[in-house]
Amino acid sequence: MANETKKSSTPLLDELEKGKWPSFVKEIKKMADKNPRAKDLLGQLELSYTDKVTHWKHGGLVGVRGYGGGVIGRYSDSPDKFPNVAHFHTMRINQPSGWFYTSKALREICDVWEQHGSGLTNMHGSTGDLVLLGTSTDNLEPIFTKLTSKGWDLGGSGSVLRTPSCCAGPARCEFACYDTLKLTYDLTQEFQDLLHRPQFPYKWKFKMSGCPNDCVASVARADMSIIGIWKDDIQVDQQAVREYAKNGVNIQSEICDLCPAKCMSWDGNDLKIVNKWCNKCMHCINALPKALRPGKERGAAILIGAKAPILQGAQMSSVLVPFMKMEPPYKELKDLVEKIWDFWGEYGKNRERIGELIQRVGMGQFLEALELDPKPQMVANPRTNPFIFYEEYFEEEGEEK
Amino acid sequence: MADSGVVPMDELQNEIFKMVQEDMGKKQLKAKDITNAMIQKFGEEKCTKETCKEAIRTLIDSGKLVYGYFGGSSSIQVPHKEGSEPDK
Ligand code: HEM
Ligand code: HEM
Ligand code: SF4
Ligand code: SF4
Repeated sequence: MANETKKSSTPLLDELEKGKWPSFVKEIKKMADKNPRAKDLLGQLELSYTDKVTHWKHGGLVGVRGYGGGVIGRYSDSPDKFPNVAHFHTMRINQPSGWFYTSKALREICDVWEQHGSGLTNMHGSTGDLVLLGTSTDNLEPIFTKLTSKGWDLGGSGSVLRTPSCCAGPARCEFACYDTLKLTYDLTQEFQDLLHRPQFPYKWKFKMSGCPNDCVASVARADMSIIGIWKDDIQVDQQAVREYAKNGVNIQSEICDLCPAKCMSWDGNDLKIVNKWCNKCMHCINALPKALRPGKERGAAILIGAKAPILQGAQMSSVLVPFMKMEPPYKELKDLVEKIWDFWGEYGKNRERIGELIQRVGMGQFLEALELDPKPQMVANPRTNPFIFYEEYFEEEGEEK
Repeated sequence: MADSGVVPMDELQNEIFKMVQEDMGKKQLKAKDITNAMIQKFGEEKCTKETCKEAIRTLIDSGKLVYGYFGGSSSIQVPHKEGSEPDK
């Protein structure tokens, strides 16, 4: 038939444009008209959907001079068919704390990237970095030079300190118990060398959340989660609580009954909290933000050992230091971190995350190396193994009282 | 005297380069493996973690050695063409 519409060259990918939600295929197609890399990317992707195998190969040795991280190499296994994606390396750009940009800064990045790369970005990768998707080896140094001249830097990849990342914190959020942005910037500057030059057994991630809502999901992903917390009583504005009640919030069933610690009560007039039982779950504060606030004595809990590997063994982090003041110059935190890195560097096997090392040697050993005392808050779950001993208990037995 | 004090920087760098070159394709050496081997070789009085760190940094900055990367883990290597890189 003469007026049959032109057949699409990507029928399988086209399926992913259907529906109301955003579509990465739509976005790649927009760029494909102006950028040959984006065009070949579509072609190769369609082929992968047809063949049901990936046509990417891992690439090991790409980067910029002096840096061990920040570029993740990718090559096509079909460069004859798709010459423009024969190289398709990813660059991680260290994002500003809390992902605050000016539109001018974003344009600068996009200009460089349209000239030297596919024009496709990922705002942001799950690491927190601003991710530039797809360029060739010969473009890496020019991109790096242009971006660094504007004050940008590459992020981390490989066995390094990964780009530290944080929630918006006090910049936008009244729940923040410490300045997550400031700490993130401080750690990024202090440990530059470790970010760019692999010196660890494997990756290390810091993630900073301002309160236990943990908007950067640090408890699930960070080797060290630094989560804002308070020590004293939740601040209550009783008048505002009554206001909520008047406006239809059932304080008993929606607040008190859902408190996991069962430490709240409501007599129709006053909301009472037995703060020593509160486990800082944030439920009541999230539900009544106009009436409740974290306490005034604020700092952070330091948790250790999360990892979220693709294949197996996801693990949450658990408490290492229940409360630490989080103020510059963060000496207590940095001293602790350096001790942990020493221990990990000494005993960690190649590709062993800190959480795995702690599991292997035991929390007791680990705490001893750090010279930390065991505390009840460190108990992540009821014990399943009775063979946990601390040496001082043995010593005490023989001692005269 | 050659026998006193620390290992000269260029000698240390040569040793490190040789080690990386010899282990190419056999082992994925990390900074720590190299440092331990050098301290073992020269002794703790003559070679420290800090001097090794400096030597590795110089070798990397000059491009004589490079960082390699596979499956999320890094190693130190002699520059070479990647097996997965397409021929031009
Ligand atoms: C009224 C009777 C009993 C009481 C009050 C009692 C109490 C306890 C307590 C407090 C522990 C320590 C738990 C811990 O460290 O977490 C324990 C451990 C233990 N009990 Fe009993 N027990 C009783 C009867 C028995 C009987 C009849 C048996 C064996 C037939 C038994 C076998 C054990 C064993 C094997 C352990 C060690 C468990 C482990 O290491 O996980 N107990 N008991
Ligand atoms: C050839 C036979 C057995 C072997 C090889 C064996 C081996 C072990 C081992 C390796 C442990 C752990 C010890 C530790 O980590 O400190 C243990 C603990 C234990 N075994 Fe056995 N066992 C045997 C037979 C038995 C029998 C027949 C019983 C009971 C009737 C028994 C009861 C226990 C108990 C209660 C514990 C826990 C001790 C404690 O809580 O400190 N075992 N056994
Ligand atoms: S983690 Fe807490 S402080 Fe940070 S943005 Fe979320 S709610 Fe706010
Ligand atoms: S924060 Fe959670 S545990 Fe604490 S009082 Fe509120 S609901 Fe209860």
